[in-house]
Amino acid sequence: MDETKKSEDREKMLAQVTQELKNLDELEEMESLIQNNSIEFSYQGQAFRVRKPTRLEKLEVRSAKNKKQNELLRDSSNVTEVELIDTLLKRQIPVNIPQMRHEVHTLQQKIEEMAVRLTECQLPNDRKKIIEQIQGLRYEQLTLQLRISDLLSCCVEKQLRDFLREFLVYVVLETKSEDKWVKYFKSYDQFMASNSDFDDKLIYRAAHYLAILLKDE
Amino acid sequence: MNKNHQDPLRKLARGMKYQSLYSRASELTGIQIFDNTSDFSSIQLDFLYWLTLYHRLYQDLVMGVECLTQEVIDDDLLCDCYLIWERKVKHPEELAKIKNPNYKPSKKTQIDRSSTIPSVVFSKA
Repeated sequence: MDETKKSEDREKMLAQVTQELKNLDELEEMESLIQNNSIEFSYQGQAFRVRKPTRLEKLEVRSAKNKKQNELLRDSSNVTEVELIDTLLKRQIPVNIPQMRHEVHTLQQKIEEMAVRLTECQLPNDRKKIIEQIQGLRYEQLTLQLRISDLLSCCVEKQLRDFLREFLVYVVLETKSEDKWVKYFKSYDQFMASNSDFDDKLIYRAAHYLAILLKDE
Repeated sequence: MNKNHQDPLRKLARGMKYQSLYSRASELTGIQIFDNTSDFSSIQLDFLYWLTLYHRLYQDLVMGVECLTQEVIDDDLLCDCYLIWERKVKHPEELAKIKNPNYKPSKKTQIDRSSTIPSVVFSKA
């Protein structure tokens, strides 16, 4: 075996080991996320956690949501999703959201047809081709979904979802103080006034973990 | 085959550690998978879904179910495709029943529930 081949093999092996270690880290991280119904994380040496809101906190969130919804709807410059879809359709160069949503559905049907073919196919080369086609269709579908979401990003519903996500962070973000978990933001005013880079990044991180905890709630 | 990115949650759920924990938890009391026993988070519920699903797939694999291999279980994309195939090809009648409550199965599998004739004939030994 010549030196070049040996070096290539070593590189391959290193890449494989690195990938395996990365996978292991990923699994450990995932295991810590599912251990209980709160997620602890460290940010710049400080311990934080997000948890599921209590019944009382859920009431607080609902009340804030209703207040924000009324506020958004009272402002005539805001548009609902239905109104925005209609406006986009009437533009000089129309954007047809229902048609795009239909395309997402059609792509899903195509993916399912290919999935059935792949499961029944035994030939390695054909299987490889079908897998590539499925990946292509999934990518196309995801791109379309992101485009729809982007086009509708200024509607009232999206603004309300963004507000809720941030408000929940204010409600459930805690930090450790003398071995006790205490609220990080003492009041909503303090939360709204926070404009440091530290707080911005912390809120972003907390919102990410909170989305994992409360995905469909 | 070059594997695409695997969801770590699914990877954990199909792994030996949690699969054996799941089997033991369903046989013995006192074994729990999470620290909390109620008020599960979204990700915990997702994990339980995948844990149960992979448990069923492993059982099907042992039974030699058609089109199911270890490779299918180990790969998210192949597994998704297998589950679609299962829904569309293997169990189409069950799917039709879900979609249409008035759906009647084909004559071959129709069971005569109005008959009073017992399906098992008892006799004295």
